Amino acid sequence: MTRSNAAPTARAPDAGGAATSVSHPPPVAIAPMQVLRADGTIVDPEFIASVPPADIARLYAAMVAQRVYDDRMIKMQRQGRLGFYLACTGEEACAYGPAYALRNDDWMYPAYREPGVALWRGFPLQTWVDNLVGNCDDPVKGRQMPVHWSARAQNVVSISSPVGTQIPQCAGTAYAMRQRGDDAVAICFFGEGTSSEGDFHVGLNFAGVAKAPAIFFCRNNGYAISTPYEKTTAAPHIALRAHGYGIRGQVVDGNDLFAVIKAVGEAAAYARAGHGPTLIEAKTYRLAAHSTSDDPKAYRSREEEAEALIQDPLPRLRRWLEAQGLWDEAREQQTQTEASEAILAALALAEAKPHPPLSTLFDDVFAARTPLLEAQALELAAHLASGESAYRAAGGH
Amino acid sequence: MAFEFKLPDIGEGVVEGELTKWLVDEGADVAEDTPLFEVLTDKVSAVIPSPRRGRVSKRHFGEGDVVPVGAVVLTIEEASGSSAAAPAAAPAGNAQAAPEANVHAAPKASPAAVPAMEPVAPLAQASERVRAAPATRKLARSLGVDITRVAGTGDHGRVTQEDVSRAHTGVAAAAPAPRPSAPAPAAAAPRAPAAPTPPLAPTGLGADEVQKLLGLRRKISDRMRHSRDTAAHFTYVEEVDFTAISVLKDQLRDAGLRTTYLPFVMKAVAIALQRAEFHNINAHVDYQAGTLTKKAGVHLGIATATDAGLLVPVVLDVHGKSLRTLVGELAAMADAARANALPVASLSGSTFTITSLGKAGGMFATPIINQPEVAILGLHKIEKRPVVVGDAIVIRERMYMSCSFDHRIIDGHIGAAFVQAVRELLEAPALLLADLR
Repeated sequence: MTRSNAAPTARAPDAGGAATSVSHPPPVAIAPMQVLRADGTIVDPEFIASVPPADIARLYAAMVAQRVYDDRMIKMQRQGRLGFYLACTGEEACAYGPAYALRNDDWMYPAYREPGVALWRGFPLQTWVDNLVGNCDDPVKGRQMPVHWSARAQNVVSISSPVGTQIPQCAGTAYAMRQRGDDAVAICFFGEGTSSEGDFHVGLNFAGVAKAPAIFFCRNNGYAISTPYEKTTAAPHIALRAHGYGIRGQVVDGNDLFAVIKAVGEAAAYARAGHGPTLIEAKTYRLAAHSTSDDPKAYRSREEEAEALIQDPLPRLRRWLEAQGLWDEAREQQTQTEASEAILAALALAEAKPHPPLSTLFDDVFAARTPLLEAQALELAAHLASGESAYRAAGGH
Repeated sequence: MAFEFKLPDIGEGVVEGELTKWLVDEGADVAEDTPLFEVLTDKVSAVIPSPRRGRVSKRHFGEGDVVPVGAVVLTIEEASGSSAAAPAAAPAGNAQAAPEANVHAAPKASPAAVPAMEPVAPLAQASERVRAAPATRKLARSLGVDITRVAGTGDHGRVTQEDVSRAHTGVAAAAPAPRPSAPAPAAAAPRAPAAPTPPLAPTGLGADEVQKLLGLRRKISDRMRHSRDTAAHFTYVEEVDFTAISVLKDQLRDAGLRTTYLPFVMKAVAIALQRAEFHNINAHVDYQAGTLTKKAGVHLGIATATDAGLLVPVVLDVHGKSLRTLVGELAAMADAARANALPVASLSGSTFTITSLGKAGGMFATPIINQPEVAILGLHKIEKRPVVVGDAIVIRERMYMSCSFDHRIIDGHIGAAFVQAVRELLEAPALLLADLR
């Protein structure tokens, strides 16, 4: 599939790929790139024509399933069966769009709200759920909070709780690809609140200097947990910061799956061509709470939330698919039922599995246990053997 | 099979939540995900869906109650063959066995778990029925505002943080009862910077030990804090001559009844409390209901040190018991306390509390009232002291008594008169005999 760089709202990147001079800085487009508007208006028929409709149907089905999963996980948490959860609700296009636009060997550094980037690449639903439950099949061995999964086989790097650490890591990985002569790119995801972190500067500045094939994907959902956008920055757009780093910037309608695919696809092509990184700012809205520990009723109005529903990425896509004859109510119901059955089955399996053995606590930091670790392991074993205390989570003995 | 649904920690590190609304009745059939109740925590307000299918057999809390995380909120009689039963039931069962589960256990759910103070805590429970979020309660505590006295302007009379702030700023004008020593503004006073903790312990001392406040300790903490936050304590100290009692005590010993001074004090207190002018002291206060219940009988709580911490077993009907009976009951109580086997029933119903430190008693103290009572008597060390009698200095057995009163209920002169009455009874045991039953 070929994608034109001649977006109506973004100037084409330097065709020649020559070193960017001061007089010709990379373009920063702040008019949001749109392909399919919420009201159904098609802005860029040429781009839509370039994407196989069946792919869009699959992406839509995955986004619907994601919403079912999220709903189930929040219920699980409220029932005391999950420690914590963060839903993607309202921002599905910002996960599934980039996942679709990139190649499977491109590196991904998600924040915490994009399980779709890995699920789309075939990360098993069961493994994802095993991590949320923290059982013995959790790739990170139950040591992390739920949601902080890892998908090595999918080239998706572990999620960190401290926001922004993934930005310089992404820049470094992209630089490594370039140094290695590999044409893979690296993308990282973060919120607009994170763009105020020092790591944002470190990562973007380095990537700009190194012309690293990186994509910095900022999901601007309006809130840094409870802090509204206006209180995190005085700048009207995060993407404007690209100017300061001498890199390409692009604002995109983050609720328009087509537009996200287009923006990420262009950024990837730009990077692979050796022009360097792009900062993408996807304007979206978090329809759900920040996390299960958050209650948006405390800081935003019901009116605002109702208004945001108009921009919901799912209905506009569904209307388009229905117009193509690719979707109907029966398919919608079937997709939801299948997703619900799949997630319930995965959860039943995950809850039945034992916890990771306690002895694994001492593994993985060093290739071999140091004498100190060995002593601690023995101490723990002796303590457990003494029966001094009962442990709820002592699945290991 | 009965499934006990415990309140989960629905927001990282939340310890309690207010049950704001029940969405199911007892006897209702529920499916998995049926909304059960709404809960308001420091972080979120959330609807809690059922993890099981079955019939709601019991709701353990009422609307407005503050439920600790881990407490059983409701019991569901499961329909047979309910899915997911096995995996989820296992951790729940283990949790009950775990030692820390006691801390979280609902008061009504496991009386044996925390025998300590539950039964003598009606005021504490009553005040919890004030509608307010935990964060609001915390604010009230930190500002020294009695939340039970704040008029709520929120939904259903809920007390909001603004209400508390308003009550705090207007506290002097608005408070109907004086708080003579109320240290409310002190909370806002600049605190001396804490000395930095040295990163390494001095040689030979080992590391600092951090301990969680669990079980009885947690309970005691909450009770003491509550008492300090609500009652307007004032403490009256008097010196009492125990020489006459000491003589009686020796006579009884020679006659084969070994006793301490405590039974004499208990009788003196009971006799004084039964006098009409001191009925207000033998009473329970319910500030939220705005009532004072004058108790007909005198039931004395005896603060008792145990390995686990302070317990207050109760000797009932002290007004009608002989010295000999009291001696026997106190001995049995001490044995049970040592064996950690005080029956739950013995820990409730006191109308007045005596706290005695015996030989370690020191000179005087400022005892904290055992709510919902309105006074507590502290006994100290009896020792020989020089005393002026007539124009001579003589050696007498003397002891200080420290009696704390709730100034909201007990005026200063009443409290003083009560202590003087107890002193007179103890110094002239003939008076004690006159009313002895």
